[in-house]
Amino acid sequence: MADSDLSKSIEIITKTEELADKILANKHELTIMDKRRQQTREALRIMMQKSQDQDEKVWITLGSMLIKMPRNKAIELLKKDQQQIEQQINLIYSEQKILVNKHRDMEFKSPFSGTNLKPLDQKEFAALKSNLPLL
Amino acid sequence: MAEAEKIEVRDITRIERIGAHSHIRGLGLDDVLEARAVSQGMVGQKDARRAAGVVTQMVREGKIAGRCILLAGEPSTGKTAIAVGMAQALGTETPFTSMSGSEIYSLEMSKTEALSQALRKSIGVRIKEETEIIEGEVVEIQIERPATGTGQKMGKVTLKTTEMETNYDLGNKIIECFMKEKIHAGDVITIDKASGKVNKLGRSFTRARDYDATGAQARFVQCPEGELQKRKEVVHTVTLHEIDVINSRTHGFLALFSGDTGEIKQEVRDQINNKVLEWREEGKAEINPGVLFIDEVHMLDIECFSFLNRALESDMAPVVVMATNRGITRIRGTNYRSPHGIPIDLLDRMIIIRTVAYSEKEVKEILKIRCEEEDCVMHPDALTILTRIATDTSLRYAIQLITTANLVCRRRKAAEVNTEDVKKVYSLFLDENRSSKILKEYQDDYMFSEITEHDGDESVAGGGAKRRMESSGDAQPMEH
Repeated sequence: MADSDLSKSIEIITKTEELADKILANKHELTIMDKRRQQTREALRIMMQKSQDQDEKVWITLGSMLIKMPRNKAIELLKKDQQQIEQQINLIYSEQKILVNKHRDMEFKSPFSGTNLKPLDQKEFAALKSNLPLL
Repeated sequence: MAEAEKIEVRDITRIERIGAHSHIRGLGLDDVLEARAVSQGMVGQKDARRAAGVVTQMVREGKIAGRCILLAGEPSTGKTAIAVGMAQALGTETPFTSMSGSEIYSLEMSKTEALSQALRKSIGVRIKEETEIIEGEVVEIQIERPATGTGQKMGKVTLKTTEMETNYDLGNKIIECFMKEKIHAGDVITIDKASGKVNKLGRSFTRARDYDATGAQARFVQCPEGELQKRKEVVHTVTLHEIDVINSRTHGFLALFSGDTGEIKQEVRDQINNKVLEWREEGKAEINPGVLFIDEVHMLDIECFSFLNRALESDMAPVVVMATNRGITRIRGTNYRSPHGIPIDLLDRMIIIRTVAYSEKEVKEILKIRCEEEDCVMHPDALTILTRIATDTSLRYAIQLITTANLVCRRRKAAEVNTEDVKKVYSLFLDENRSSKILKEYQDDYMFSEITEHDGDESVAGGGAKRRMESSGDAQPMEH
């Protein structure tokens, strides 16, 4: 009896820790993704700002390679990258929500209320906010 | 400049008044909703507390709405205490409105308006706000101004967190924001991505030694961690009434501060109901029905009862908890008698929870809790005497004696209230029984003792108070 109790609690603790680990890993991932997002943004910015000559070629790194490539193409590549990163971030955020609530469930806490809500429109919220001192 | 330096920064500590039920922290139930004998300020009334616990659990899970619960019992048997306990157990998430039956009689507002406001105050709407913010410490900031003084400004800012660092080019508008907030290198700031609002959180600890002297308001914070661009989600619960007030045009938002909302048109309410339902359809809002507690419910009249009957059928109705200490009595506004002074048809929809009189042991426990609540150290003998007083007169009277005895005790600079103190305040302050006894004795010496029409037959029956009890709760002293 006592033995099965012990193994049961160990099992629960392991599961909780596993989940927690995953949440932390996701958090780290988010930071890395954001770093990449900012870098891409900076690169795009610089390319757009420099001379407007469309045919000029620019240096760009692909993996560990430095490649010279037409500006248009480079910008296109970067933009695609940006989109992908944005998608990835959204994915992690939604996964994170599920994980955190699962983790809370493991710890016998009720899930955070309203996690599955869609946010109100910015405009609507601004109207509410300007009139309600408590928000 | 000198003016600005005079501003004092003061810590505000909230002083909570000690109220009649301030010692109650919850319903005092364990995990399986079994009532503990003494817990969270609650004593005894196990069955009633269990019942209330079940109701609370259902409200929390959103399983019931539009129901009525009646707390019935003799005076001072803990009806209000149970309601307060329910409010505490529900927490801040679920709206809980508490009102007294007589509150609806106001000159400025019709009875039904007061009731519907109370009903709508007890329905929460959960909404979510999502913002993307950029949060980081300013490493460097450059702003180039054209020599002419006017024209486009150019700027660059470098932000960092503990993990990363990046540059932003600044536009004209945001530069203005930066200048307005007086942002320098070393400040920790947030920028709201949607609105471009810049907010200064404080100065970074690592830059604490940049200057020898800092203003009193300088606040030091840690350099933010993790990613620069963060997504923040905040869930708010607002009540329907709050949205009503915003949208009732004639008053506008000022009404929220002055507390006087006046009448809100039905059309406004309908519009808001529609909007909220629309949000719910789109998955943008959750409706969170709360609890409306009406104390002294026998003070409501027949119109209110039929209004309530109707209002409870609406799909956005809270759980209504009522409390009354009346037996079979007249329904206000009619000549009919009914149990608890509530019409039978409404009574039919209710779940009735009964509270019973406290035993002597429980009374002692309550008094002990009250002593703790009022920071009063009481000698066991004094407590025994107080318990006796409570059983002989009333619990409320005994609780009042705690406060007064404590004062007397402090006057003689003692640390502990002893029997002498209790005896002294017992002789100083009369309870209801003694007071009416004295009144009866010296009736003739008081002014205007002979005016009422009933006076004649009342004196025959001997003692107004006693006679009223005999003629079965028919008389309501406050009746018009």
